Amino acid sequence: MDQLTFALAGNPNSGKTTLFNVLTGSTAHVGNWPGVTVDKKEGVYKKGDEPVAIMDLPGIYSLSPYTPEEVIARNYILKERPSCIINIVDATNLERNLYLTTQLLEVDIPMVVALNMTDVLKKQGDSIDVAALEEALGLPVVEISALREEGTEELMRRAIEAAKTTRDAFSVLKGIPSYGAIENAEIAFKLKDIQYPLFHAVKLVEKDELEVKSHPAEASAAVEYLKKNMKDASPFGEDTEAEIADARYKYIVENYAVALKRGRERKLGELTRSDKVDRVLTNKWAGIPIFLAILFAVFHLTFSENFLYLGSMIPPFAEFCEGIAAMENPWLSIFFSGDGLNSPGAMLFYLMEACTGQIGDWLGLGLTSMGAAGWAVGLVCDGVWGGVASVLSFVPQIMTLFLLFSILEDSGYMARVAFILDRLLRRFGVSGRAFMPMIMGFGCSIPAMINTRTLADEKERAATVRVIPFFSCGAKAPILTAVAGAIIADSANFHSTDLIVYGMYLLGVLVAILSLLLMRSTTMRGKTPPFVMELPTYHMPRFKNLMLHLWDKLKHYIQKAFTIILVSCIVIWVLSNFSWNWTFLMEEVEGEMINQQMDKSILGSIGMLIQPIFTPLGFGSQLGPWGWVFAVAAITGLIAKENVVATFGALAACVPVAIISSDVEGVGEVATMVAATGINVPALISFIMFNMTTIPCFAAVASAKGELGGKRFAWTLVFWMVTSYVVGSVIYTVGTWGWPALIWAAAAAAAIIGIVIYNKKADKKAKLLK
Amino acid sequence: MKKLLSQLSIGEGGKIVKVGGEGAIRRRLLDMGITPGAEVYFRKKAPLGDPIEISVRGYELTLRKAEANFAEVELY
Amino acid sequence: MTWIDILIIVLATLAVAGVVAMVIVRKKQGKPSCCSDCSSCAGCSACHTKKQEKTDE
Repeated sequence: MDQLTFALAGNPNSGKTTLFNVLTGSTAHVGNWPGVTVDKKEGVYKKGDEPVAIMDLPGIYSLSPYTPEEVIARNYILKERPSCIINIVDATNLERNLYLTTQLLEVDIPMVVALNMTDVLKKQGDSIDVAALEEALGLPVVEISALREEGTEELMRRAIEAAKTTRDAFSVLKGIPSYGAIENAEIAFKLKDIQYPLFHAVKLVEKDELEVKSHPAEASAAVEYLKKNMKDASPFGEDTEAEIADARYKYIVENYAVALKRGRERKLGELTRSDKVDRVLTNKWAGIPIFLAILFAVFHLTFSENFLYLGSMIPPFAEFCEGIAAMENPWLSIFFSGDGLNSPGAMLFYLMEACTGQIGDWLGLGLTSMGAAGWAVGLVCDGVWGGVASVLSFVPQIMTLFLLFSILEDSGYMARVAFILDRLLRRFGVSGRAFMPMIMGFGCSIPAMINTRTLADEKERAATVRVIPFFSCGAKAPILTAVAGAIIADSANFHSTDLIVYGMYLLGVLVAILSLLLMRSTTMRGKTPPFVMELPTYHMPRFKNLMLHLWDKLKHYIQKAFTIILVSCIVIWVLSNFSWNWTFLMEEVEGEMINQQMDKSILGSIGMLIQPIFTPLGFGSQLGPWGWVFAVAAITGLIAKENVVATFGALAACVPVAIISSDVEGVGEVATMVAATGINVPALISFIMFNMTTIPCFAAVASAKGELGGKRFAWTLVFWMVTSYVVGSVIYTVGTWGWPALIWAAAAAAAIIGIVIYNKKADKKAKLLK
Repeated sequence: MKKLLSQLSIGEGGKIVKVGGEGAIRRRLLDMGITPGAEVYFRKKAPLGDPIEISVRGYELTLRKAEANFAEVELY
Repeated sequence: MTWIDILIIVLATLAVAGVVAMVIVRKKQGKPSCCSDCSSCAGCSACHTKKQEKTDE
């Protein structure tokens, strides 16, 4: 016998993926908002007598698809014919969840209902009479709690049992006025030998777009039948769409919902705990300030070197910290910066930093004692370890940032942010729903781009995919921190790394918003798509869940550091230490091997060739002999964004300036390059913004290609290049001289006027055509 | 008294009498349980006045005023 | 050149060759060219189904 395949179908956010993880032992991403899963995903259940393939499907409200990922779920059920459907029903939201069940009943595939979140229901003092529900549905019903892993084995036992039987299609619509039309269509489909005749018949009479398109003859027959018979038969007239939806809900209320026993009567509008929290977090006045404050808190916790501003508020403490900083003990400076206490994120960073530094020292000593030549020590310590370590040092800090975002996501707050910001985002032509993939972009652009499948509108989706890289991902965080650190090392009074980083992130978001506005009023014009969404209830973030998220990210970064980044560093080292005629450029000076003619190297000459391109952005020709390092860093960043900092790490050792004594890996090296080139602060910010908004890493580019396809993708590359170039130029020229602001403003005004006039004309034309 | 769903004030409730609109958005509203006869209750507005949150069929649904305009409510 | 120098050269070459080979092999398998196998990602099969689709047709 073939292997059994079970499909998990149910409403969004009903816990399908949690159940999937329990059954298959996978670690698929779960979150507390509808629409986390956007693609089917297969796993295997091995705890029973025979292995069973489990298919996790995106959440759906009905079998009439609305967004691309809902089509995936419908097509899987209809085309692949699983041996059994496990229909997950959120017990706390019975009526709405059973609506999908009534549709699944019309497909003659064996089915089991998994009543999830029964533990939450019991906590509310309610219960469900499982036997009565089983009786009414004619299906096995199993109470489970996917989260607590309760009842899942019983569920699988019943599902395997059911899979070995057959089930007749059944419709709850029998007896409604338009059922005659459904019966006629069903007979027609049966004669044509079409699979699932009842299901297709109902959808046809409902005037489902896909269905009408594929069976035009039957559709027109149904329309005729309705015209003839429906006028007085039903209050809905020929509006079968409303009639059928209404009939389903009526049937549910009368036959199924009675199984729900309320512990006590609830009044409409009674406040739950979530409501009380929401009163504050989504408050009319405080909602948006609270959101900004929470975001700032996240960055403060991750990047600040003056935690809670203790150093500024308690002067004696600041003096104490200064004293400790003066001792220059790398282990003490884990906890204290010159200004105050380090934030948890910064502590982890300095800890990791001290470790990688120590390992680097040991590597150098070890190799020298084994008799390695100076160049070999240089390759391993400066070239490879210097680069890899400068990336590794940032991993704990990226993890902290990611953990905080996961907590916000898992608690259900992120979905609220979509609610709060919808009005604002709509001005820029996208719905609040588009905010979820954008926020995911702070972690990694790839899943974020894939998640845009929850957006119903094709143009909105394309525009969103394009701006996702502007939401600076984890791999770009090192660029931000390292350059921000260098700016601070350069300045006497300003010491808030967290403020610079927060500002840069916000600047990225601002660029994204402006680009959205531009695209949605030019190439991606279209009506703002509707926003109908369910707000999940708040719950405490689950420790296990958070750790799974983190572990996966961590694995990803470490793997990347020791493969792609490591190899990039080796290549960079070779290219920067050999000239075109393969002469080795390192020379022995005072007993140490130093490459004093890096500008003659292969990398140097390539760098100098492209260097002039970046002149308007502030890190081009004006930087003199070493300026090409910035150009090279920007290019290596296309492979992986960590490479930008790694490039500085690998090359700084060769620059003939005393390495700046910031003990910090990455920061010190960027600071060295800053000292060597005399680059100014606006140019540094321009450099950050260029890397943030230009073409993302290879992997993200590939995802964008997959999501957008051919021609749109080519324009997307152009869009990224132009945006980053313009953003960099604006920041550099305005920041350095000030007055170019007038020119940029004039250009922007001209562009806006041009677009408005063009759009008005186009609208007029469109009206005339109509 | 009849009102559009979007015009209810916070705390008001009633029965849906008509669902207008067309195409995918109407489909979605019906699927989400906003059908004639369903009881709704207006819960809250987003900080900028839009979207709104309503209770329907025992759960909370968020939708824009533009979409809520399609539903007509008979107040209690 | 001492043995350790040679060892370093060999290791460096192996690392470069190994990673380049890994990238090529993964690309052929239709997996993402870098990073982990993103098994935990919700959109996982988006990156991995290319090969399956071909065999389906």
